[in-house]
Order: sequence, then C-alpha cells, then structure tokens
Amino acid sequence: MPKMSNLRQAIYEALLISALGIALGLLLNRQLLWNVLADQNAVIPVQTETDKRLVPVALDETRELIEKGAFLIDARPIEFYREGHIAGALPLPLSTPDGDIKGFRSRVPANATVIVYCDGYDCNDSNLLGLKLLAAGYREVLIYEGGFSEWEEENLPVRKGDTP
Amino acid sequence: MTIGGWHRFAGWFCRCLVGGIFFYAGALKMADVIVFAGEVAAYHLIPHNFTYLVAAILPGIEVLIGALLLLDCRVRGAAFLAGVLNLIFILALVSALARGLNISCGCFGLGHDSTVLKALSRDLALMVAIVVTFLSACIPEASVETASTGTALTEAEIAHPGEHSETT
Repeated sequence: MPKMSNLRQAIYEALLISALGIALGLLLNRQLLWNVLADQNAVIPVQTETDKRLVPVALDETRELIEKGAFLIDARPIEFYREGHIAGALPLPLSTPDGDIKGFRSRVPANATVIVYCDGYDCNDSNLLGLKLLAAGYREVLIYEGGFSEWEEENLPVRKGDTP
Repeated sequence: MTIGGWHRFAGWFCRCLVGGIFFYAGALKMADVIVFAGEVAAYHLIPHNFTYLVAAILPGIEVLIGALLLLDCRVRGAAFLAGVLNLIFILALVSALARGLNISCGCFGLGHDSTVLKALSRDLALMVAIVVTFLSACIPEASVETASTGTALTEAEIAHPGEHSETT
C-alpha cells in the first residue's frame, strides 16, 4: 500500500497539474469563453457560419415536410438504426467520417431539405450531425427533436434492418 | 522474468497506456471545444453556460496528464489526477445509463462516439491501468525485489544499501 507521504505528495502534485491545466484551457479558449459570458443566451449547438442555423421542427411539421420531399436522416449509431428506424430514413451515424459526409451529397443533394433525428429530446447526436451537414454544404438542416421515441409512441411507420 | 521485472514492465506498460489515452483524448477534444461542449451538455448534469467552461479546461488537464505520464515525470500526481477524473467520467456514464440517455460518450471528441455502456466498460478497464500506474510509482522497486527472496529491507537499507550489507 502507498504510504501517507506518497499520497500527500500525489495530491499536492495533482492540484498543481489541475491548476496548470485550467490555466492552459482558459488561455487557449479565452475568446470563446468571453463570447459566452458576453452573450448569456448563447445556445448549444452554436452557429457554424453566419446565417446558417439548425432549425428545430415538431412532429406535425416533420410529417408535412417528408410528404413534400424532405430527406429524413437517422444520426444514431448503425446498430440502433437496424433495430428500428423511421420508415424512409437514411442512416448517417454521427461517427461517420467528414469525408464520407461530403460523399453523402451524391445521395442527397446539398440544396435539399434534410431533417435529422436521433433518439429524442435527451440525445444530442442530431444537433452535432446537423452541424457537420451545415459544414459539408447543406443549406437547410432541420432537427426533429422528438426523435425516434416520439415517432414510435405515436405509432407511426417504423422499419427494421438496413433498408430505409 | 523476476517479480521485480514484472513490476517494472507492468508499471511501464500501464503508464504509457494511460498517458497515451489521456493525451490523445485531450488533444482531440481541444481541437473542437464547441462540439465537446455540446457533448458535455448532452449529459444534462451541469448548468448550460458551465458546459463551455468544462469543455475549455478539461482537455487541457487531460493533455497535461498524458504528457507527464508519457515523459515519466510527476507520475504519482498525474496518475492520481487521472484516477479522480476517470472516477468522475464513470459516475457521469452511470448516471446517463440510469436515465436511459442515448448519447455519444464524448470521450474522444467527434467522430469517435461510442455507446454509454461501451464507454463505461472501457473506463473501468482504464481505472485498473491507472491504479497499477499509481501503485508502481509509489512502491519502491527494491521492496518488490526483496519480496521474492523473503527478506524485507528497511527504508535506510534501501536508501544506503552498502552501509548495511556488511553488518547483516
């Protein structure tokens, strides 16, 4: 067992490393933190570029947009997609490399309306994937915040397996 | 290999493993702090604006821990802090699991998301490596060598082996 003197020294060193790490983090991100402090209403996810925003949509609006030809994208890991997804949704897990997301544009054009969802209000994958889609050149990215849970609760069409 | 040899090897291996993982994880998060803030927010554990503060400082601490362990410098302190951080990560993951959150763990930044359960098992294995690193940095090698021969040395003998060997 380590002696008390070892433990005391370890705690002292750990405090010193923490202080240095905090100083490093504050120094490197001072601009970001200043922006957050200046704008108390800053929200996550934040804008990636000027005039490009992720827009949240509700269930009814999502259904209307799908009927009008919007593309539905499932941001959850592929295992969850296989277990069950909204009928017609394309799989694009958040872990997809950036290069493959750009390649996704051959399936879904950049000027299309895309609606991204994940599990529901508690998950953040749809927001993060939405930011990546904006960065990849998509202009109209909407987030269906109710996600798969809400869709399933409403007994709307779902499908299992790899096919949309 | 002798017990002392195994002790040295286990300590070296775990130190490099933990150091490498912390350095890699911290550097990835540091590269995109905003996305990491989003991943911290997904846990719903801390107030909104504090997620930015945590996302700003945590990668810096992780990178420092990783660098110190890899450089074999201040190993006791770095391993102790790695253990404390890892314990916090484990508690956050257990809380996410208990609430049924389907979120990316945020362990290695964007593009390396894994399920909460997978991240939890990884962190528990990492905790074992951290404990081995800490203990091997605290226990002097001489005491391990003597454990195999059955003769325990006193602290003074470890510090000045020549002076005592003649009298015993």
